[in-house]
Amino acid sequence: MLVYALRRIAGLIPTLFVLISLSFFIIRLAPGGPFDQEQALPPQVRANLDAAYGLDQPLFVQYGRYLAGVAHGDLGPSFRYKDFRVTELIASGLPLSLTIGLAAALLAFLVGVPLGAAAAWRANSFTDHALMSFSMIGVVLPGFVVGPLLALLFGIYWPVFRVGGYEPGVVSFLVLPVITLALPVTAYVSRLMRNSVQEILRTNYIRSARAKGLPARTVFLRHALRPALMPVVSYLGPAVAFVITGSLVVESVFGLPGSGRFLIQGAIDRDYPLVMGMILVYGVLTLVCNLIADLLYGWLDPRVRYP
Amino acid sequence: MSNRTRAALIVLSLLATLALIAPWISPYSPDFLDWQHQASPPGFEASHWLGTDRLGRDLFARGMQAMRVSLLIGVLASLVSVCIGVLWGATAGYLGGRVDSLMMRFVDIVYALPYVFIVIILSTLFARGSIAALFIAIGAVGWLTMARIVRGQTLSLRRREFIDAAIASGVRAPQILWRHIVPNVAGAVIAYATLTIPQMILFESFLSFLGLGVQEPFASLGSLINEGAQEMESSAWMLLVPATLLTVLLVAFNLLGDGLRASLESRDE
Amino acid sequence: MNSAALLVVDDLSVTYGATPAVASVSLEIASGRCLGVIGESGAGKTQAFLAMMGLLPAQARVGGRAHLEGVDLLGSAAATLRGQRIAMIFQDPMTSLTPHLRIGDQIAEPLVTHQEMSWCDARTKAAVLLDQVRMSDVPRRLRQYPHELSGGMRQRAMIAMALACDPRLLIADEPTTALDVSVQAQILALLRQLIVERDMGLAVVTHDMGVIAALADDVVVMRDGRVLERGPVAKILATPDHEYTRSLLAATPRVDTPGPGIAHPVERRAAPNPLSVHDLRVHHRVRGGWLKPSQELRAVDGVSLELPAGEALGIVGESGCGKSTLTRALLRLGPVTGGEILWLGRVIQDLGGEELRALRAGMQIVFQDPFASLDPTMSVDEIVAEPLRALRPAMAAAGRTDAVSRMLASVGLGAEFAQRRSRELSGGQCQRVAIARAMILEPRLLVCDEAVSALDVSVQSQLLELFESIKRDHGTSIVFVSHNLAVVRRLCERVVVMYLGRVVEEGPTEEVFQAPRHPYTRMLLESVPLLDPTRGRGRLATLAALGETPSAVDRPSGCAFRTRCPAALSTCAEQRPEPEVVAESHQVACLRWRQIS
Repeated sequence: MLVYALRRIAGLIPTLFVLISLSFFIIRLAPGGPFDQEQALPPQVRANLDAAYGLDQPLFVQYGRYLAGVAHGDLGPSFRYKDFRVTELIASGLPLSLTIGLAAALLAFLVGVPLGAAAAWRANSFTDHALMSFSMIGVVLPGFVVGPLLALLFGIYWPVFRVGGYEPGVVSFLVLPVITLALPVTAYVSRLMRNSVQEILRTNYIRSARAKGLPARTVFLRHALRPALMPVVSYLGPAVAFVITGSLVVESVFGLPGSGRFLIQGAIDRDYPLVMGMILVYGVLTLVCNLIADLLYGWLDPRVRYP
Repeated sequence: MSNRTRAALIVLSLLATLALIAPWISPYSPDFLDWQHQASPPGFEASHWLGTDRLGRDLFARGMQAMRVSLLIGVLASLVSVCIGVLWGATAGYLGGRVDSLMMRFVDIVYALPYVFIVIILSTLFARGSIAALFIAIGAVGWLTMARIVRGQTLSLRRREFIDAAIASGVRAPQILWRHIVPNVAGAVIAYATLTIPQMILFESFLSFLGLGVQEPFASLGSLINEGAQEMESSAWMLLVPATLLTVLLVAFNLLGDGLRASLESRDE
Repeated sequence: MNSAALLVVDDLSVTYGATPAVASVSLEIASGRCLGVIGESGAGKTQAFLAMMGLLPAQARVGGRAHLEGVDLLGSAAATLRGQRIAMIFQDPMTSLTPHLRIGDQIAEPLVTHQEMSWCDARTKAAVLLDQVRMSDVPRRLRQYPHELSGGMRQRAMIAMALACDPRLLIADEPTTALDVSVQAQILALLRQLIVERDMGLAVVTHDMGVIAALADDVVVMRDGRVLERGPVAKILATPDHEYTRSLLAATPRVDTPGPGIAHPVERRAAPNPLSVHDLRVHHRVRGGWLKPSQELRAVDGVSLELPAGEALGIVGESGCGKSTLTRALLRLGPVTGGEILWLGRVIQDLGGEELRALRAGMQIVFQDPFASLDPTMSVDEIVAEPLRALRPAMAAAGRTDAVSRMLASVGLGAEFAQRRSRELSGGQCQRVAIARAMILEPRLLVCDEAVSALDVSVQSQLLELFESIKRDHGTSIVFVSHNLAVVRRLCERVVVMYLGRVVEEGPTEEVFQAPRHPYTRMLLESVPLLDPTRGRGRLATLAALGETPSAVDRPSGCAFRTRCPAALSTCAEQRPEPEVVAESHQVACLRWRQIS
């Protein structure tokens, strides 16, 4: 198991490297620079600015300096927010974004898995059809539709929760954003789980377990659950990627001061270090979650651990 | 074909027809600014059946135009992603070995990253509102699942003895791909292509919502929802109209695709 | 009604909607005795026993009566019997064991559930059970997962699992069908011993007459959900009453009955052999991963053979012997690492592209899985016409259609089959289409890779006749690969015995089967169940078959068979045996064959 884990971790690093390098070079290729948005500057001022931010150096030198900075945890200065370093900017919003994202992901799996299992257990019953119809709609509705709708319903017509902005410590602001974010993932996970459980229940080894006279609950919990979870765990990585994407929308719709806005704004402003800092941070997050998913999968399936 | 699938097909045909003939049945054009009826709720007087927006544009006309745009982008982008996905997947599956590993590794890496990154990176490369950027962004993400599915099907097909039998009968490789692999993969491709269309529409709406997609004066369902969300508190219909249209469209496509996929799987058994 | 009867079944029926799977089945089993239930696929035999176990799906309607020691198996009390008084083992051990639980835990589980043992005590009892099923290296096996065990070991684990709560009745559904012949013999011997040791009743469901002969005391013959005949095994096998039973027995090939004689020797030597193979090698590289170096898998490790025109050469061996790899290499459908293949005087192992394609008309293949051999999107006439389109492009469409219908007629398929697709055909019909496709180019060589193994006995017999007529009327040489020695004896003039990629013995079929020289050949022949129960039982009791084939990656040094050979000495580990001549065209690769005979 340890060897498997080490192998997976080692596989992370090249991917991360590729990600950083790709984003560095592609963004640099973009037409327009950070200082083109403002009025045309006199050439000397422009030259000074370029020198100050190191933009007059050859591309590879800039690349090298950036990598060196990353190794020290310094993601460079923001071109747009002149008094701030990127690290500070991201750190200001990241805790909130992480809280929402993690809560949403947890909610999705904690609700989706039992729901799917229940639907499969009572296959073709009313419960099953109801659950699957609900999940079909949940998968399809985008966050930017659900968010405003929920805000309308529970924030304005029946003010159960508070919407619009955020006050530190007041959880009520976060409930609707988290639900909006979790909804599509919950729906997808429940469908995945249902199909998986149904397939597992048709296998020969479940027949053997039943032939041993084991009670239905034991058969399900001990023999069917772990293999049924495998496709769900495989989905963990893409699920987190989805949540990261979704958090941008949710933060925008509900006006939350998370770190998502820096990515969008940074792209619009051509604030290279900010964009790359965001990509780096979120990239690491995604890859770490993929790693956890891989390790979980290894625990579920002994054929992977002992080939 | 199950009843649900049939219903989905009917709904889709109705919506598509409606969107296409809207310019002839709607009394207003999407750009017309009706100063007397700005931000008015749905009603039959003045023939603004679904109400108007902030600037007085008829929401039925605008909604239908938006649906045309969304459908067009959805179907076209789907087509592109299907073509790329099928080529990629079939090649990887048929050649196998290291080529396959390399090709699918690439797919795995891109699949694991939030597609927002690609969008953002691409948006910095192109000017805002560029249709080219839109297509590249959507296409860059959409073909991944199709490639995986086609590769899986091709791999399992290749192991089936009738491929070996064809080789033993002297059939050349291109003939084998065309005559044996493609027809056997076609079923899965069609089923998943139908599921790709709503994904593309959703993705485009997402981009429009962020301000990176279709620009004024064109509207897509996503940009309409964006506008509607801003006016939500005072004029709820401005949000509800495009939101409902989008939801019905997506649900119908998903039901259709699911039905096709289910009939495909039952045929394989 | 016998008062000592363990299981009494009366008028049992299983219906799905309007279709009956089982109709009015009655039988009895007494403790210490084995009932064999024989029938071909679709006979309803498995369904009947699944009904008794309560394992049928919800939509099945069960009627009639079934009692185990007086308790109703079809009623609500049955749940207390399942896994405790009555147990069942299934055909495919790989998929019938839970992949993520250790073997020891799976065997201990019924003890914990039904007898309220602690896990610790249950695992101890599990070790005892594994001993009773003659499992090797018990402490290690307890902690292993199913995918780490071989087929025979998995089946032993399944049996141990079924025996955990000391059942009065064990039902075995095709228990040895997925296993090698030598392993099958061991499992059959084990089951025989267990009935006696535990005074247990055994019901064996099978399509194989040999298994019936080896295990059963009483026999029930089923077809289409009904019992056609019943009686003691000696009577059923020797003088059955029902004509279906007689036809089944007639269709079953015997390993102890002589097959076709050797063709005229003079005629044979006149023409050079169309197919000649020298020292053929096919080696694969198995990737090692990070910490293990990559290893070499010698699937075919120096095989030489000769195939005269118009004769059938049988290639027998168990799993891992390389026979399938060999057939693919012969037809250049798979890789060749070294050695020489001479076809009609030409060297073909290095040929590629168009040159190879041109030769393909002369050599064709029929595969094992009838449905996978046919493209599901093509109709029968398209399938059979394809080789003509590829290799005889000049032929006109009319000529093609003509050739196709003539070919279909000659394999016994009428014109109404031309437009059908594979899913509308039975296994036997699919295989006939595959043969038609192979023969339409009138090849000189036809390779049959387990071509009849997936078919019912009666259909198998018809296809073997078809192969015989191909040999006779077309003068086509046949390479017939099979694990079924009886079938090989019926069809082939010569036989080659393979083990872990090497030829251990080759010669005229009659000679090799009557007086085998190599210990492995002997073991194989002794493992095949005979249809004479008295002789068969005696053989089982003194079984020489030991262990299982090692993995091809961990090949033993020197003679590959030495780990299982009762006559092995230390010299066998040092030197690889080369083929030595025993008699005219009969060779054996064993260092000690003279001493052993």
